[in-house]
Amino acid sequence: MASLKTSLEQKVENALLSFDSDFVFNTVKELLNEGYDPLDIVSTLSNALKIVGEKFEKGEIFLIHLVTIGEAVKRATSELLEPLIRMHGVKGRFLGKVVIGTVEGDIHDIGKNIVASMLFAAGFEVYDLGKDVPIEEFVRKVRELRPEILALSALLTTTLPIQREVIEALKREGLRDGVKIMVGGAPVTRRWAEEIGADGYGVDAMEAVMVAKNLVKSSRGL
Amino acid sequence: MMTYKDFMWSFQSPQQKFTIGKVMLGGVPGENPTVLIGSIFYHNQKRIWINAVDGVFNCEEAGKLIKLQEEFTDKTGLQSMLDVIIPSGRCIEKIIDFVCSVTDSPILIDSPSVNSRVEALKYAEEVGVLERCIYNSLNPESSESEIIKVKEIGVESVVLLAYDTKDLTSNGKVKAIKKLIPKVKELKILIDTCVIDIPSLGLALKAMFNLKSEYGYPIGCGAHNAIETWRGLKTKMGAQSVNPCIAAANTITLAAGADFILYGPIENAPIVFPAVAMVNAAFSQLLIEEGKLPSKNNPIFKIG
Repeated sequence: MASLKTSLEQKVENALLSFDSDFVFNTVKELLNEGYDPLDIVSTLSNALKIVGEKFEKGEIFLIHLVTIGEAVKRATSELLEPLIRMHGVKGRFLGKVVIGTVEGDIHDIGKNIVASMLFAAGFEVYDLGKDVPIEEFVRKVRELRPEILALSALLTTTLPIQREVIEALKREGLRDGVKIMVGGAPVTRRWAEEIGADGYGVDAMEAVMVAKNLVKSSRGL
Repeated sequence: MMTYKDFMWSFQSPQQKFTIGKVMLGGVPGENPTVLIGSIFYHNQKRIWINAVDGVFNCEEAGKLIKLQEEFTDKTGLQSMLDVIIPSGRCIEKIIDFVCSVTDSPILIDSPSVNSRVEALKYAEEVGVLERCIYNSLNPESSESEIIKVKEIGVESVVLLAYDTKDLTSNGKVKAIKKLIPKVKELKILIDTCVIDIPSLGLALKAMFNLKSEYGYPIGCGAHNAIETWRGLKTKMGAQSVNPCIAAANTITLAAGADFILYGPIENAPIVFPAVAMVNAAFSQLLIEEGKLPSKNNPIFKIG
């Protein structure tokens, strides 16, 4: 397979910053046709997403751009890259498995979608349960998939307590010790994360990726 | 010579007008004063919430805010409604009982939780105030069961939200609404073209004009979100820039033919009402020039 060049990194970055889902999709398709390794493309996307995140932080792009890029990356990865990666049996090369979702009663998923896209692009195998996810569904998926990380999103002060309830439900089912739990969302604070016994908290999507990487390392004793 | 309608708004379809409670909205811009909708009981409204989870709030402060909007409604001649955001199921009765006891304004029943929204609507029906309620809102992801429940409860008016995460373009907004209209066409439809930030305000304006032109339903958006999510506004421009930008974001929607504006926190009434009233008054003179006299409550006869 051909090796990635700076110009290709530039191609991916340009595609993302075009804010055009079809253009992102077609760029990834072209890269695959040119023989690039899907995992290398994922890694390039991950780096490009970091640049996008920094631009958002600096106020150089807006929320709609971030959402559009997140959706575009999600589409390109789920339709083009993930099937290839799974087909070639390179599962062992994932950094770890993440189950993510917005808690019950909360229909906000913009932030959660961005985090899910960035986690995937960073090399995680991501199972996105969507929004308004019942507590028992989180428990069922943790039991079924045995992920390294469970990521719980909540945007409202009224749905925040559900994050605690999910953790309590996992404890009751004897599943808590087998999974690291991350929490996030606008009203979530580090203090809240500690209070409810979560293992990690990210103030934004970029920090969430960093925290997820560290949690996986620590769970493997690295 | 070009008529007023052709000068700015050449719509393809006849414009629909609805009466909801004491408010009449819709029609050709200038015909009815703009309806301004202030949000109250939103989740970080520190001034009134004591404990949002249990529905404990400061009635005096909440009452003052509702009266503030009414004061500016009277002063300007604009019309108003309340966007009542129910944080959780535990708050429904307390909030609706309170709001109905202090105002006869139409109420948009709003909540981040579908269950709370539907339950609140049900409660409004039980206590006999459904006629002045509007369900806020249905979007392309709303389930069939939510739509059925809303209709069964018997609410007459509904807001359709033009929001599709997979297609955030102005065309995506139009498509989202086209998908929804057939499902609720027997109701009074209000269309919110959905603003999440500054760029989406531009898209919302285009979608607003196109949808109003094609369907004639009353149209508007939550323009204030452009300001709420503007990260660099205070840090790069300074705190003094916030209020003019709130006024600008809200008034620009009038150029696209907005019939209503969800202007955000009700505390902003003193910023938004005068700005919108001024534009209403300016537009009204175009009607007067054509021999069509606006009603005596129109801002043009009140704000001078």
